[in-house]
Amino acid sequence: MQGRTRHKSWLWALLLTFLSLQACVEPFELKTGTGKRSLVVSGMVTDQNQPELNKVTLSWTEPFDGETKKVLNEPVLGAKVTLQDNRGNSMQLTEGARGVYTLWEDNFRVEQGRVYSLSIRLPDGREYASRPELLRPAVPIQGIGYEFKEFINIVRNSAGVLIERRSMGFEVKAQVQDPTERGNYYRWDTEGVFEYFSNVGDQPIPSQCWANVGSVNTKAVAADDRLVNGRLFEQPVAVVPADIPTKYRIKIRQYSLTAEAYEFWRLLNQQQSSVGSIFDPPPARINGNVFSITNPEEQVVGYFNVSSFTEQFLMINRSTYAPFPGLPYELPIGDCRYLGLYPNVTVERPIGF
Amino acid sequence: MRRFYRIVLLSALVLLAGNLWAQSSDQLYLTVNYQNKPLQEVLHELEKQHGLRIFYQPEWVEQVRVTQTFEREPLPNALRQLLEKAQLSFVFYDSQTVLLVPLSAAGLFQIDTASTGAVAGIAGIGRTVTLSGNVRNAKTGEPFIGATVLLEEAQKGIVADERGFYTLTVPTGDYTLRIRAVGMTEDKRRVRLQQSKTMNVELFEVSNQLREVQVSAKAPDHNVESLEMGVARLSIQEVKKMPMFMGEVDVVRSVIALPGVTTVGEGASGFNVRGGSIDQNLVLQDQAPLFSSSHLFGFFSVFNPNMVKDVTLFRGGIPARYGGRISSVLDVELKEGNKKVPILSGGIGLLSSRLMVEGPLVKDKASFVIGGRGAYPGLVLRYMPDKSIRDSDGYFYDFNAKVGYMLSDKDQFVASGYLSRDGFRFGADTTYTWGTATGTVQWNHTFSDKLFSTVTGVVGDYDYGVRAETVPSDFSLDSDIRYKLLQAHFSYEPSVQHKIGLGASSSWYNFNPGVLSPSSEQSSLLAISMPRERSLESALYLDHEYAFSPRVSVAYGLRYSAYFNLGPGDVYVYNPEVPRRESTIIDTLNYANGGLIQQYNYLEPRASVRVSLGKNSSVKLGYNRMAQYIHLISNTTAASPVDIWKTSNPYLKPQIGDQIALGFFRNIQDNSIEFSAEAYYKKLHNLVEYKDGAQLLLNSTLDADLLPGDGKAYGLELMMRRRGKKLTGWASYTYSRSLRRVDGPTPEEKINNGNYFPSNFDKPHDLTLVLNQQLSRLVSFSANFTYSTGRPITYPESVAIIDGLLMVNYSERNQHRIPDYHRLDLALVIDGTNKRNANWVSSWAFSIYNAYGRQNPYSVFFKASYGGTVPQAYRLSVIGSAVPAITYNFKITK
Repeated sequence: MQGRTRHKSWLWALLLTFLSLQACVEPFELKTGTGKRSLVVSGMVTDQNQPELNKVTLSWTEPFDGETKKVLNEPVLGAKVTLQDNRGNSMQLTEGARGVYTLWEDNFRVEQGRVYSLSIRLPDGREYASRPELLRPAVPIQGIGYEFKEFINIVRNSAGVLIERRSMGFEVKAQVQDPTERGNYYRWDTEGVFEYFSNVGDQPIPSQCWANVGSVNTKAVAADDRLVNGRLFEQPVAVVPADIPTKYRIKIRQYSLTAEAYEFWRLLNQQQSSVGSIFDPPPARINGNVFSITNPEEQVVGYFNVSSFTEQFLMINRSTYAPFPGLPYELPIGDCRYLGLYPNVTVERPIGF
Repeated sequence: MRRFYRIVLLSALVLLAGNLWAQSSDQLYLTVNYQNKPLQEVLHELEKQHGLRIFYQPEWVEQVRVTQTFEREPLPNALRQLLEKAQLSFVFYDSQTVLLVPLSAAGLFQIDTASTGAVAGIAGIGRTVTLSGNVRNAKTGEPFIGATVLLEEAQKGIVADERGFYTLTVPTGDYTLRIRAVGMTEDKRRVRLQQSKTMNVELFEVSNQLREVQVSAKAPDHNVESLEMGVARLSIQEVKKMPMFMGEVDVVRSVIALPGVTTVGEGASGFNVRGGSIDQNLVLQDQAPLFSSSHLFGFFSVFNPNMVKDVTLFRGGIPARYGGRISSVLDVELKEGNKKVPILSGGIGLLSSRLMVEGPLVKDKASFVIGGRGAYPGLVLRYMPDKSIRDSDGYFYDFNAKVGYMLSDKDQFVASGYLSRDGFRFGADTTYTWGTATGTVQWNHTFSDKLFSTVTGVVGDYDYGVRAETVPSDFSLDSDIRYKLLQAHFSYEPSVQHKIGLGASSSWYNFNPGVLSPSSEQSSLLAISMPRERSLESALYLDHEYAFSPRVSVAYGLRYSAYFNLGPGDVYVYNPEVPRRESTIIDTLNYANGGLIQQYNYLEPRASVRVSLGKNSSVKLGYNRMAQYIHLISNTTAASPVDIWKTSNPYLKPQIGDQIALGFFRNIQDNSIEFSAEAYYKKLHNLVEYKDGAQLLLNSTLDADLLPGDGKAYGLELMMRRRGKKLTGWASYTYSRSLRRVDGPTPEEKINNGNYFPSNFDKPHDLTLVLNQQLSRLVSFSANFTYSTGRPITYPESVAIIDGLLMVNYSERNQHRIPDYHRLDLALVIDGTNKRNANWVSSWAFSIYNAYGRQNPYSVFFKASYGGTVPQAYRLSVIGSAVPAITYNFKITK
């Protein structure tokens, strides 16, 4: 049900295509930057003491500029970021590289059922705070599964013609038993770790490595129980690529959300799914839960989440589905640690492999 | 016999184009000897030998034989002698064309051969008489609505009403009666009025029926002379002339070419009139309101062009008998079946085909017509390379049927039915369906020359839904609207100066906003059923048209509407201190079956004044207020046919529209060029707007997601039309604005900080040219050009990274515009024959939509490219190239 509008939009796009009207979608250079930058707050704290999850990233918005293809959003350095709960406890987040502020193990005192808010003070004195968020318990994941399937996307090729692009992949889904009471909200993210080999000949260097690519989500994934209250339901979360025939460990984390946080993620998903059709809601600003204390008119982008989570992982033995369409897979040559093909490489066998 | 005479007379008038004159032919002399020769043969011989064309009814000369000898006798003298025996007279149209006229009818005919002017009526002293009667289509026997009936010398005219009835009160005397109607040859006759008289007139289609272009208008000077403002009429002949999209003659598309009417873009359903939303248009098909006017999402309209008789759009000056919507009324009337002969007609197009059968049930009394149309987009889909499109399938069909029966001279009964269905399956999984079924019965009764009544009953059903089949997210979601409508209308015309309309109507609505049901045991979806909404909308109205003097006339009316939202139902009570949300519900009120949940009532005044400025121009001023109690709930740019409708309740207040308009109308060159300028200002209240990101489907607290808005719209519409010549059409330019404002008490209930912002269809400049050039008797060429400012859009302002994903931060709503829209369409229509009595008439229509292949952007949207890291803006054009099409139409008469 969540995807119906999206379906409708695609349907509409297809309708144009079948009418052979060559509905045309062209990239177009748009520069609308106002030069005014807003603070972006992205992050969360969870009820588990894992510093890699309990962190907040602060950056500045960049003007929308299709021309320069600028990717980097300038980080906010030197801010003072504090987490407070409704019992008067205060926890300091410590600045790390590139505007990432982490709640380290020693400061961690986060519990379910409490209400948390974040306060931020920039070096220039401007102050910001998040609206209080309740840390709700997470509903456990019932199970995770995957399906090897073909994905068809209609894309425009370099000659400007709409073509059908087929690719294979493993769609990973979470199964959830929704509790009987209403008002449960979910968000999912993933972590992908896979094994790979290199051709080292007779050299005494490692040829088996593992890479951690972090989240493989390409979109925000969130759901509510409005239409599935009390039922067992399945939520596609991400797609594991079918590129090399090795083992892939996919972890799904299922987070609890407040109703307000769910709205934020739902709208972000809607924005990411928009195809500009007449059945898309007109784009609108997505409001978050952070506001400026110094100047109430100032816009702050992003959301500070407070969640509990449960996780499960699944091992996909991709070799049983190989060979995959496309070029035959050939082992890269050299020390698998220094190939430069994948991020976060290790030779230490991760759990599950 | 009288009728035959008229056939001749009328055929003469076709050729004469108004002015009848007689001329003796000096060049021709006869030297011949006839011995008991049939007159018919004689006439035939004359035609052959002297290159004459002689028009008459064969019955007139049957069994008449002549014995005559002529010696260099001038042709007129010879004819006079030859025809004497047959009691016939004659008229020369030109030196080669002779019309025979029965002497019995010549008294009425009274052609003054000496002067070309009309004979002045001899006014009786003090006494007035009434001339009344019916105007009918001679071929089909249907009443002719909107025919102009004019008594020339008295300078009095009237437009025949819905039953083709006319009545005129004048001093006794001799008059020239002229009756004109769109696409029909003019009937002109002399009448002597010494006492009140009934005169029924049958009009004939112009012989070259597919060729006749009359842009609209009831009478040549109707736009100047009537009290109407903001009203446009299109005859179906005219609609058929306009270039078509995919070869489909489309009523709604031609309405969009009128000034003051816009659309958000191609493929969008509905249309926007003078800054109003699409649900503010009352779309009537044979008096039955339609809730969706589109097929295939919004590409085609639901009206079967073969069945349509004429189309009237009221965008201002809406008469008091219409109500329930605040922007406009689109009244589409279907034709009645031919009362004389059976006819089969149809057309074959690339996307759909049509077939229609009509004919008499009881000759001259009762007739039927059945028409159907079916589309086969699936045929095209099958050849698509994409598998998911190949698996898709779509269809639409519609059926219309209408029966008319003249119970007596005073009573007429009409029943009409409509059924349409649309379906579109996306891939193998999701199917969208929607359909309409309506039935109308109407009884017209004439009490006297001055008092008529019409009673109409309508039953309608519009259902729409979505179905998905993939387990475990299989479901069906169904919604429907059922309504019943009963209406009685009386019109009373005590004298030429007064026209009074009085009536009452009542509609019962039963809306189902959505029932979600899982389709299988494995489905993870819940069964959810939104409560039905029931309401009753009743109205009483009275209007009066009064001509103070030939220079000044007024019309005023009052409509009183009352609305009752009825139980059973639960109404949530929200905490009034804070914005409405699910969490701010403080109580729930239960209403029993039939319990009154909420009542609204409004007085809706309407008024207009016309002041004539000389013979050919006038100034008009009008005001009207309208109330609307049912609303389309859609927060997408263009509404889809499966969007829900909602009735007013304690939170969702009726929409109110006030409009004031001023117009100047002038006709020049014998009414062949009409010029009009209309300015309007509108205020709209309680418009339905949405909180950002509102969820509309299956939302039990939908009232909390809706925001009441205000709107204002103003504009100037300039239009020039040319009619009755080889080059016809119109040029119009409109400057208009349409603004909205949502200014609630809290930031959550405001849009753009409570300031006015342009609506989605605010297009300030709009220029339209619609031209039709008759190239020859059989070939016509037409072209449409349209230019408008791009619609408002919300642009991305900046980008941010959230959780590793790109998020776009948008500007305030509708602060930018997409590039301007312009398009040229061309069409060539070739007729197979122009003979009036041909049994088989066919035509070919070739058209090119968007001839120069302009890629008009529909929207600008953003997507992350390069693996989701770089924002990229895209421009979507719905139609990116020229779209050619071909259609074949035929008409077979028995």
